[in-house]
Amino acid sequence: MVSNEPERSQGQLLELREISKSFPGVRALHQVSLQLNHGEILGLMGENGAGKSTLIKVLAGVFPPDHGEILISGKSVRLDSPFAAAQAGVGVIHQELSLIPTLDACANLTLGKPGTGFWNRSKQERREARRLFEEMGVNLPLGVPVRELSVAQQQLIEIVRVVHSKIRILVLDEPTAALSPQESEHLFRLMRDLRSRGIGMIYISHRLEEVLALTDRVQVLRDGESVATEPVSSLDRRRLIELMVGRSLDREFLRETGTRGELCLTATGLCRGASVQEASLSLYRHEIVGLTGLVGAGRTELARLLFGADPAERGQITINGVSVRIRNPREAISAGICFLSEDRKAEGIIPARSVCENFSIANLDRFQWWGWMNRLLERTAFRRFVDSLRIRISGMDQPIRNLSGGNQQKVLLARWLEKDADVYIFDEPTRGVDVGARQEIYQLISALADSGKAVLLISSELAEVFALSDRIIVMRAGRIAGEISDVRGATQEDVMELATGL
Amino acid sequence: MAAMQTNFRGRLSFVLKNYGTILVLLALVVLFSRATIATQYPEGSEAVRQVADLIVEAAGTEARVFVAFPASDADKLMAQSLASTLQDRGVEVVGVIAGRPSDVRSAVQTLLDQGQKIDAVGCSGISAGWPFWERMPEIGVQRCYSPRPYDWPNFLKFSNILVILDQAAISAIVAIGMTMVVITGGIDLSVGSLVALSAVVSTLLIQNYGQGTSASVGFVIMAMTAAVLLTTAMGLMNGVLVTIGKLPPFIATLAMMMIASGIAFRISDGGSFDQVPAVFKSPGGTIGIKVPGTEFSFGLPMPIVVMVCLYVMAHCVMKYSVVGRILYAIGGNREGARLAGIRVRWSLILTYAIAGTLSGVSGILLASKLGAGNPTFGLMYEMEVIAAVVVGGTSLMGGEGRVLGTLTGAIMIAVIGNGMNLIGLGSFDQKIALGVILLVACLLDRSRA
Repeated sequence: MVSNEPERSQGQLLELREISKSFPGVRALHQVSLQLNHGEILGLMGENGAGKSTLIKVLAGVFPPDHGEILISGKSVRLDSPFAAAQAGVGVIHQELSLIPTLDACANLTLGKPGTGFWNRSKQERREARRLFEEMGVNLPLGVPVRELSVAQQQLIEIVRVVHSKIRILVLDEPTAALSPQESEHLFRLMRDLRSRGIGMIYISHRLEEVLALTDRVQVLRDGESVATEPVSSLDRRRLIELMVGRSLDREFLRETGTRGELCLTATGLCRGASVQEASLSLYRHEIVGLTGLVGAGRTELARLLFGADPAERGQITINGVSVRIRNPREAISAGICFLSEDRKAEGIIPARSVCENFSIANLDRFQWWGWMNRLLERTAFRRFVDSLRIRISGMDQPIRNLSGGNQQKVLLARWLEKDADVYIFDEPTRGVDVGARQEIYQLISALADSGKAVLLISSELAEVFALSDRIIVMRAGRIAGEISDVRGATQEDVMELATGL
Repeated sequence: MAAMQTNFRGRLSFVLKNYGTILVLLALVVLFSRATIATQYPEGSEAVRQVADLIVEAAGTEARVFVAFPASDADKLMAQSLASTLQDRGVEVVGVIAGRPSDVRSAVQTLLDQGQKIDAVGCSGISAGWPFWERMPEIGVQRCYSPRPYDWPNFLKFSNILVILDQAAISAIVAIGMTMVVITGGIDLSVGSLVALSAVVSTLLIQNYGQGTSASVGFVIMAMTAAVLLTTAMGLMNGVLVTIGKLPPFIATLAMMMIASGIAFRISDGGSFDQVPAVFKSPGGTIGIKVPGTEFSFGLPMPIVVMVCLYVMAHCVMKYSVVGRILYAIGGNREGARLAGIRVRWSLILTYAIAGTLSGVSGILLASKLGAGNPTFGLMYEMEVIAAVVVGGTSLMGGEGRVLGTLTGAIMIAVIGNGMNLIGLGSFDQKIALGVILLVACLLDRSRA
């Protein structure tokens, strides 16, 4: 810590001066300035498409800025490649992890570091890695290929790896998106530790509570411009949302519970390996059931069994009183079940195809005539959803990969809404979605239940589960741990109790 | 606003992205055209009309005309045609000959020795240039009338363009199936062997079981159908191995390539089957086309017709049909497509089967064109076809690409072969050039990303 003092006295660790960056047709950043001090965590907030990702990529050396200056420790630097950024001491943890799945933690740690020879790692290097993990308080199996570890554990390795390479500025882009509350807490401990060592961090998250609890200062971007920089002590949740969306919200979303409709889906004794064991549940019309638990508790796995994405080894599913056999998604869809995957990129969108094609791919039978697409019908149907869901697109033929996360999610929602199924399963529907779009998605899900659908909502964010659900089912280690029927009378602690089994 | 900000670079990349292949093709056409400019003489009815007009204009209808042409079949026809045209207009034709210069010379000399008067000689561009006219004072060069020569690239002659398209057609048809397979994220290495198998099976059936050259039309159709069904079944097998067997497409189709090629060699014992009836040769032959309202006629190779029809169909299917949507979706995100309720396996099996069918059709056309079936047909076709697909802008990662791009790619490859032939570069140089073009096309493709 003493070694950091001379640097600290030189003033700011990082300064961005009036950074601008445009892409063909889009002004991503306009004269954004940003300061970061030694030993400070700066929360960078904004809706999707506000320019956060671009700003990070400027810092990471992926996009050189069109205008503006970057100073590190008072010296102007050019970050025109990821290598240059690493040399300058900027480390970035992206949403997508960059570990090599087949190598173990130690190997990933020393990968590409100077001093790593051509031949296999020496015992000493291995010991060194072990020491580093211990020093950072990261406790995980070091000898197994990282693909066998949980996302949270991989993330910790990634952070240790980045920190290991002598960085002074650490950028974390939504690191907690896939983590359970406990795992997140572990990450925060690590970050506070790094803060005490004088490392400056830029922290990006859509979870407002985390930002409020963790950061020292918050900077808000909106439409590519910096709209506010305030110490976190002067902010609260509501003020932060207002800054981000640029309008004041009347109130945050809270669903009014209606009366439960008739029984729609029952699953009994669903099993698949160790991930789901003897899971039974019932879904009723007009009802939203929240399904929660720690990461790895088997929530997504259970949903995938219901949808036939993975075949169940045992168990029965009944829809509207009729026993159905679901061996693949196609059968699930024709039985009236829709499933919005948590992994939008890998399991949802078809990135290169147009928004309209992404919308209609699950509804081809509706828009076809003897095998030929009826494009007019297709476009008319999609246009309706574009208007009602307020999907921001530049045209029907825009590739979906060019949309922000929230808008992509809306297109996928439209895809399933067009199906008009009985049962809707939403797995982390607001992951990577900005605040404004989040509220809209909440309203949509709520309206869906009100219109008589049965909804199963999987979420790691307890606030979300509490705001929307009429009933909460908690999973632990592949089993249904319990159910909370009186959501209004329950607390988040009740859920955590069930989830952890304490 | 977005359109306003589109700068020159953006526009350039848009053009490259959508028309890059076509631009390269045009550049090649210009290059080869410039390199093969040569003096051309009008041919056929147009030439005849021109010469007749010149003679009537210069010497009047009272003139006595001699018709002298070189010895080729086409020239003989033209000589006949010119003679009868002149007679129709009331001009007296004193002699018609199409032969070697010495024959022509002695024939003319004989007439002159008989005291015949010759006012004009109707010639082709070549016979008008023969040197002995100069040494005949009774005639002289000035009385020789030939079609007006003009400069035009050999490469761009209509007949040559037909040759190029005819050459491109066989592999271009195979490339349709390959494009579909590649769009789904796969690859099919067996297409070349399936071309050979189809050619061998159809000709073998006719030669050994259908009375060879005297085989009936019905039997020929049956043999062709059987060959195509066989290649379709092998394509289907590819699909089953890839989906249900979960083999990587590269491996499954590599194995199938060896098996199919082995079968083709085995059943033919490495030899050719050429005892086929005339009707077998018609799909690979030409059909006479007469442009209505003019004298212009030419032989259009059937493979071109088949190619154009299949491309129109494939383009419509990929762009406007459910099948197209499904294939792009599978290639773009296979798991995503499955979770959207698409029958992924079934669609993939169908795609590989279609690739097998198209290979079979190509094999038939090739055997028909050459009048024989041989197991060495289609050798290395898979590589040429993959090159056409990639040059045409289809991504080997799947999910992106266009059928018409592949057509451009296939034509480009044929253009390179033909153009380099015309400027006298052999097949070794052509291979090098093809490799370079493939690299350039792929680099262009990368730069636009």
